[in-house]
Amino acid sequence: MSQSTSDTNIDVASVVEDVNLRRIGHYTIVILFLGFFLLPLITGIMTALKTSTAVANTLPFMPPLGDGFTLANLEYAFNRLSYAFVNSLLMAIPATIINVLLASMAAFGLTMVRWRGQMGILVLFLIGIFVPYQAVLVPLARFWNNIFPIADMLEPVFSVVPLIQGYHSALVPLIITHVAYGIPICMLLFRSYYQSLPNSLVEAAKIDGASITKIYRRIILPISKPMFGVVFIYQFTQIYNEFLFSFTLVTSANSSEAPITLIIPTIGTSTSGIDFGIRMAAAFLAALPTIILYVAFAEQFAKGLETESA
Amino acid sequence: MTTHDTTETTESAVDPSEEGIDWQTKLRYFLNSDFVRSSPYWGIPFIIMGIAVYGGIGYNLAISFTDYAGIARPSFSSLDLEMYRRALADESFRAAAFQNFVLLVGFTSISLGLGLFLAVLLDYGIRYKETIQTIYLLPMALSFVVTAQLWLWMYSPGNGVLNIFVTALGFDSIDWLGDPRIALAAVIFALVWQFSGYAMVVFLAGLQSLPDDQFEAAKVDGASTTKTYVRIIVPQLKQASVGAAVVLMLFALKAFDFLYAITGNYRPPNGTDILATLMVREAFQYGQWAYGAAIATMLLLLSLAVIAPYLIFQHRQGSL
Amino acid sequence: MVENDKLTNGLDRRTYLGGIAAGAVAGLAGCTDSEDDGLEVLHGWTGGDGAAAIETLIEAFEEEHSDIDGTFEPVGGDGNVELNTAVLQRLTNENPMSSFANWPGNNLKRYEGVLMDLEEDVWEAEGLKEDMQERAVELCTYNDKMPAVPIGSHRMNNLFYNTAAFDEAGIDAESLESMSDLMDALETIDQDTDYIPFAHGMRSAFLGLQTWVQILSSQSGVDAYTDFIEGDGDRDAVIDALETLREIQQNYISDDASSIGYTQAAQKLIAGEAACIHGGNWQYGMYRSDDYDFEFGEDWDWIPFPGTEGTYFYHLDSFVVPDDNPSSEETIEWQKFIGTAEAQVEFNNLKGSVPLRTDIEPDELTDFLAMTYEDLLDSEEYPPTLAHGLAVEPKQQNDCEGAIGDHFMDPYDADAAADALLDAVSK
Repeated sequence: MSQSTSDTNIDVASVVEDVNLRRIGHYTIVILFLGFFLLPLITGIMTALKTSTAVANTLPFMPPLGDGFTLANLEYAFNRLSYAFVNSLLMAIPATIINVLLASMAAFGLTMVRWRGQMGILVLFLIGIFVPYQAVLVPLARFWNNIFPIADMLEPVFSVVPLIQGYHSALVPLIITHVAYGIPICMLLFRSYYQSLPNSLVEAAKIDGASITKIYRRIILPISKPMFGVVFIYQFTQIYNEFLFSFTLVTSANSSEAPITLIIPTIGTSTSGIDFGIRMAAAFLAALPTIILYVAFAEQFAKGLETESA
Repeated sequence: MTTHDTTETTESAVDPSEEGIDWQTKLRYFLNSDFVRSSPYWGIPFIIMGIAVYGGIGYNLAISFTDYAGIARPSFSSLDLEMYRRALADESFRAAAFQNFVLLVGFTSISLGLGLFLAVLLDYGIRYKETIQTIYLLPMALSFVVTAQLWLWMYSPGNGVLNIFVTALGFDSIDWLGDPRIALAAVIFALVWQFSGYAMVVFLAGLQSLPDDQFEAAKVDGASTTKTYVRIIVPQLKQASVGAAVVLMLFALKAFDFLYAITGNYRPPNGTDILATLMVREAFQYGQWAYGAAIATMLLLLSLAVIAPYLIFQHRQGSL
Repeated sequence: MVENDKLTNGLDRRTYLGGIAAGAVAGLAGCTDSEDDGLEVLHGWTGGDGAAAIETLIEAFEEEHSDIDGTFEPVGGDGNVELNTAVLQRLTNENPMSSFANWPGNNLKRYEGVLMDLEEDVWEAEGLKEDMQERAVELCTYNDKMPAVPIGSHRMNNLFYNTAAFDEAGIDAESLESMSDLMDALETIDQDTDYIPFAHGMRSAFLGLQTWVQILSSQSGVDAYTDFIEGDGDRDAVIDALETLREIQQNYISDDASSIGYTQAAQKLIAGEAACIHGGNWQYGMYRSDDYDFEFGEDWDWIPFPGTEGTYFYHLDSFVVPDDNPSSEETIEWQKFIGTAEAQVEFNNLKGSVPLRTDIEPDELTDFLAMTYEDLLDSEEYPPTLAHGLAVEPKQQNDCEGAIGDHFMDPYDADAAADALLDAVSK
């Protein structure tokens, strides 16, 4: 803007006015879009806090007032979902950890070390990102149920392990499945990071005679700590939010081992229709862990997304 | 990219192919080569992923050639293309494929357009940019399942927010998800809500990586801000657009979760059936495993058709 | 018994694999031998009258068989969609349950090859072949085996109406004798009152299909329907019925019909919003629930669907038993119990369906059900229901639902729907 003021041919006042109008217009659009992105969320949260009468009689996005306020929906949803919440975490946390480790190793093996034919392997990994899960769904169901029913095999073991239940063994095939299909995308995230590292780092170590394992442990692992955070958050969100694998491998939303996403689409349904108070409360509770992660680590989250498409 | 230089230097250091070296030396060279020594690192993940992805695809393909249906185990004695023929002749398959196409193109282009608009909006000197960006991106953190619930309520024919607006403006309330003529548009709109923030982040990153002097140069030329963006900046975002478009299309291909979660049923709202929902319904509701496998194979081909040009493009750019 | 041999000869898969895993991993082999899966019954009655009925049935069973440890799992709703899927998954995964509620007849095609034969252990042991209605015996026989025992029958061709609405419009329900009478009445209600003339749910296609069947039978006779399900339908009659359905769906149903299901539609009658509804007489079970002050004969009443008097559109619920049963002996006890007069009366009185045994005293049933029970025993024709698994094979039924779902949920394409319907049953 400073350039325009120095231009004597232009009337200063009109420029200022023009700029202000523009600014106002600009900010108005920004705020309108804030409304656009927040409205469904606010509506959901407000509805979760209302009695069914208030849901029926008040504007959905207005806060509940007086008698219309209740925590009963959240309480109901929490009681109904708490075991499923445990299931989701028991599935997502180990799956994410294994996933991130394997992906980091794979990216290291494919980026920091060079060898012939590497590109072929890399392309096979990349295609893995783009496979729609439907293309492996029937084999998955047959494999984990008929060919290698690991859940049944482990059930007796799980039932004697403290703190977990026998039925949690049904989460094992889910964990392995998530790990297997999560490797490609996590590998890509690590790879783009490793590629940005200076080559001299590894070359110098090699000249010193360090083994590949040593390079990974001593050099790569320590400097990729921030990337571990990014990938962990990204992948945890993906697995925690995932629906289709759970839907395929867990027979029904009534099963004890059902992860949380499986229950949300039917909770609060009765003969008189959907109780949106309960439904929104459940959706809100289900989304809470990822929302917290997101707000706390917004930067890492955005970074994960940026590299995904690069 | 430095890929090629290093490949040659490291390989020539251990290249065992020279004449006159006995096999023991060759073997030693081989065992000490980076390929072998790095193999545990990429090899283990590769095997796990390979079995799951390529083993799965192969098994699925094999099943699609059988007539496996119902409870009995599949028989691989007679293989044919019957299931593919049946799909192509089936009207619901064609409708699902068409709607899939509309969803893919509509959702991707609208999200890209809106994402670019938002990116430019935020890129052009604005206060609280980080916070606003965080909010625009917030829906991305939600699952398809949760988004479906929020929009089911937004679209509710009775007391939903959209109908409150519509009736306040003096129109009749609309059955957004119930009317097959607009249900798909309503679904696309909800998905755009969830993912346009993603396109925005990608474009913002692209914008920020452009050197500042281009803006300055444009200003010195006297070009207006809008013109600067349209003529100079946007064309340079080609790379970012392609990347974002591919990822958005993949989200669209995974819209199954969203559609299932809207009805809580195998059959999504009328007029929104896509290949993914049709496949799961045929296989897991009706037990038409082979038929479902055939639909899945075609869905796979569709996504490969989306990404093959992308991978080639990336390869040409040397950024693979 | 035959099943006992099976149990001892072939360790069931779970126990076997469980043993291996426990032995290998924790050195606990042997501990799992005692694992007895017990009686496990799946059913689809998740709420309202159905849930009350199955609860009563379970209580009565447990009272009689305190030694049997049973688990009873309700699965989903929505016309058995979720239940059927869960059963299909479990059986495909070679993880059978003891018994599950399902429609017999052609519906059993889904489970072909994995059903247990109860002819000797239940049907003959209990003399059920003599006690049950012949039609039910036939429908429970599939591929020369008898894997199912019937629990109750719903009549499908009903019209339930709100007496206040009909009075206000000046309509005498008893005088409605044909489809055109009904259409005139709907028009009158639409013109003269604020009621929604016809409560209808279009979220899933089965209700449209079911209504179309009634219209077809009413307009062109039951023969037109039976010809249709035998793959020999008259295209003109099919189209005529579709056109009438279109007229109803375009003019006489609620605005939110496309996003509501059957139960929500039925609520509109109780809520005093709708004048009438067509459907199976589970409606009755719903309306007599204590939650509502909605009395039969006063607030609501019943006529056979206009133009189908003397016909009992036949629906059948039963419990079906898969092979490789995890609890053969207990399962047989359960199936025997299903066939007893006590079970049939207790269950059906709450469910709104009627017993299949021919030796029930009508006064053991509520008034409305006693009337239906008499019709069950003494009607002229008993065409099997299309939308509930009896008339055609599951694949054909799905295609019929698809025909309505794809072409007849607004926008309407009668030609395409007719072709798809005729094509579905001709295969």
